[in-house]
Amino acid sequence: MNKRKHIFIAAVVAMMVVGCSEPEPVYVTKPNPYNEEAKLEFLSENTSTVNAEKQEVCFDFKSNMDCFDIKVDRDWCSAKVVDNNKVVVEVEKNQYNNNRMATITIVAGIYDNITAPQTLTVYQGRGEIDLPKVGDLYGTGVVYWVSSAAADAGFRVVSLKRAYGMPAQWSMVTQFMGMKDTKFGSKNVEKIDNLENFPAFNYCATMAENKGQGWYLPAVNEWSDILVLYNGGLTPTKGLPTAAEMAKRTEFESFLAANGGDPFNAFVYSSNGDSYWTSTEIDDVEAYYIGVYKNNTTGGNKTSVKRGVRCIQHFDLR
Amino acid sequence: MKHFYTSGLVALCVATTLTLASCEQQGEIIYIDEPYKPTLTLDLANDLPKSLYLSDTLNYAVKVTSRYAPIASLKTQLILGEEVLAEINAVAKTTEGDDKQVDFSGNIPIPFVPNAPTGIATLRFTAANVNGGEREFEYALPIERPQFDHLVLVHERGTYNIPRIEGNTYHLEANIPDDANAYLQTPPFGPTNRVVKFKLSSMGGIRTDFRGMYGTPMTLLPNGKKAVTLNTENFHYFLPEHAYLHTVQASVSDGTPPAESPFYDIIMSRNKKAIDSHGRTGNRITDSAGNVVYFKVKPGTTVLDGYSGRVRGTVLNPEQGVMVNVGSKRKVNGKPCFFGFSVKTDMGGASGWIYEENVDDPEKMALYGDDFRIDLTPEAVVGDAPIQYRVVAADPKPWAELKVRSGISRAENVAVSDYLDRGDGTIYLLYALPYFGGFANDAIIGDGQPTFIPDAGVPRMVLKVFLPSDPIEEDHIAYSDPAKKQMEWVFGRIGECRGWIPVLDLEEDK
Repeated sequence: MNKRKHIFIAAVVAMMVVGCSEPEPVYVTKPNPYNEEAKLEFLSENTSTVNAEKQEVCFDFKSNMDCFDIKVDRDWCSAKVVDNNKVVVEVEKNQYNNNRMATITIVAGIYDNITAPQTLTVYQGRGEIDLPKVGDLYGTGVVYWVSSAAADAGFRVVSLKRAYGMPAQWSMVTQFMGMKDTKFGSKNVEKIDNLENFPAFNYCATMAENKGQGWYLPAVNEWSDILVLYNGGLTPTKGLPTAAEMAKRTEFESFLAANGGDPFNAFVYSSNGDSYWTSTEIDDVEAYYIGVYKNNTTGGNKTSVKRGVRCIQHFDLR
Repeated sequence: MKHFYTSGLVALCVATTLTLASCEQQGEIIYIDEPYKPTLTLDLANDLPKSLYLSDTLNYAVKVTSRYAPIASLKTQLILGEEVLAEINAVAKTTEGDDKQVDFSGNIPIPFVPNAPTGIATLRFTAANVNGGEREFEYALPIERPQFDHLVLVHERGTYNIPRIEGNTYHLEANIPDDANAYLQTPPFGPTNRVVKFKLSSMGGIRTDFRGMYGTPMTLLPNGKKAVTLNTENFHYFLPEHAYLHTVQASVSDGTPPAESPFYDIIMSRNKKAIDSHGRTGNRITDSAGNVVYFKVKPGTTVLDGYSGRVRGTVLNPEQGVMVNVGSKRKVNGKPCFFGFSVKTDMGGASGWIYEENVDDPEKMALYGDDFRIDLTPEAVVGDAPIQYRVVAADPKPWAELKVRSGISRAENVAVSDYLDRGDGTIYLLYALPYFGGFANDAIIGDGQPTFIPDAGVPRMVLKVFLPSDPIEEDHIAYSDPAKKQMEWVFGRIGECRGWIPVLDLEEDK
């Protein structure tokens, strides 16, 4: 009897132990949010106008993504995405008396599932410091171009000093460098690896070491603006200058001399006057230079030592 | 006892219930992240070849699908090691502009590059949608350098088989003349029995042709024979099929084709200036001092066009003579001719063909006969492209002010209009484009709207044109700004006359 009882109990226990095995895990697929079409919608105006003070600007948006690529085209502001629902733009103080504008570009999503780029624009009002005027001395140069427009706010300065009568070849090597930019000499300079082979450019780079950053050899169109300064604000005539132009030029030469500058055109009565290299290349052999007396743009052999060098600085206030 | 079993049964039921209950417990929930599903997909419409030879053309057809944003473009690249051998960019052209499924197809020429071993290349497609999202699709594609048991030297005076002696080295000792043109070609190979021709200039250390004046590409042996040793490992040849379609890729606006262009060599070889027997370059025969030589001709000598052989005018001053283009030789109306340059005729200034038999200047011929007889007439690079145009000499008026080079004053010629209708419906075929010499080697009267067939091996070139500059001053030339207009040029043939012609002068013959 006792034996039966033990067997029965043992059977019950065995059934309980054997009959109840470990439960199987349940697998549930978690939807990947990146598989939905990426969307990005700004909830308010995508433009903001702020005053000159340092501040933050917020743009609210909604998006089904939590991954964003954001770019800003100006140094004076930075932007980041906060809480996946707003772009916070930090704006620096605008010191100069010019309007300026920054564009923030944002894309939501990853890999090949991204939204079309959307842009935000921040306009910032004028600061207190007046922009210099054309003809003002600024550092070791003379201001020759000023703009307070938001799109290209800034000013440019041409050096008081020049390299002339010394070997200042455009290049020591006959090689096409692709330096074809006619508007921004700074873009041409970027294409040079070894400045020692480009003495005219090297002169400006040396000036940057001694007299503030950013000096470079002007492009051909930048020289056009410099010649307006030299011409006392008058658009230079092609060919022989008028008497009025000559009077303005004499006045400007006196101004340079009074401020320790080198002359623009020391050979006033020669047929062409002094000539200066531009940074704009023509081909492997020639680059453009400017004849200041007759306002001619000319191609000259890069290895010529006859040309002078005058450098400029660009102050970008956009 | 009975009570015991009753209790036991109850206990058993309870235990069973407990067991079942415990078994009904849910297992642990494990969440699995759904994988990312790319929005862009690509399917090959036909199988890729198992392998290809250098110099083959890969035909591809793919279907690109986008789940969300419409498709924008497909870039196709063939990459061997680190080097991109070929690349084609195609923009999706859709009727609605919002297609999410686009078929792309094309041909990628595989250049015969030097020092590239047999290996596995990567065929990479990069699909992009209109939002800028991109995805790459890669396929392995074995590429083989073809091997031949011999090469064929095709010489103007016969053909010579150059047997392979080992690896990629071929060697021949034979009596090969060195005073005529020659090129190399392979024996037929591959599934289509294709033959590839190599310019001699494309081989390391070997010059353009076998003319003595270029230096001898062969070694002179003591027995008087010539030894030629070639290594195909150094050969390079860019397959130019459909090159004429590659205007954008192969041309730049300042007249210099980009060095990385696979068609660079071909373009440049089409633009070399003629070289006289003294190694001087130029388009006219000159004496040792560089003065242009005029050849007297017989009274009544006529200047002919190169296509129809029609008279363009009669030479006005036969005693004064005519200038002769170096290297332009051909037969017109069955008679050997030379190309007279800027000849004054009773119909005005003209360049064109003059029968050799009309030269009446034995003294000059004795001095400059070698230069006179040089024949550098352009040859086909690959052959006809599958397209034809009618030559319709373009109206020069809209281009009247413009110059083909910078720094040219109004008073000087060098005019764009020189390459359009010359007033009597004549246009010139050019041996060398403006920038590279810019001289004609044929004059074609276009009134019959002859057919122009581009050469499939030469891409189009786009050249800047310029506004006139200020007058010349002292030791320099005043440079002018480039005009907004540009001129596009295409190389091909009218009949058997080959040269460059402005696309402006052509209309597609459908």
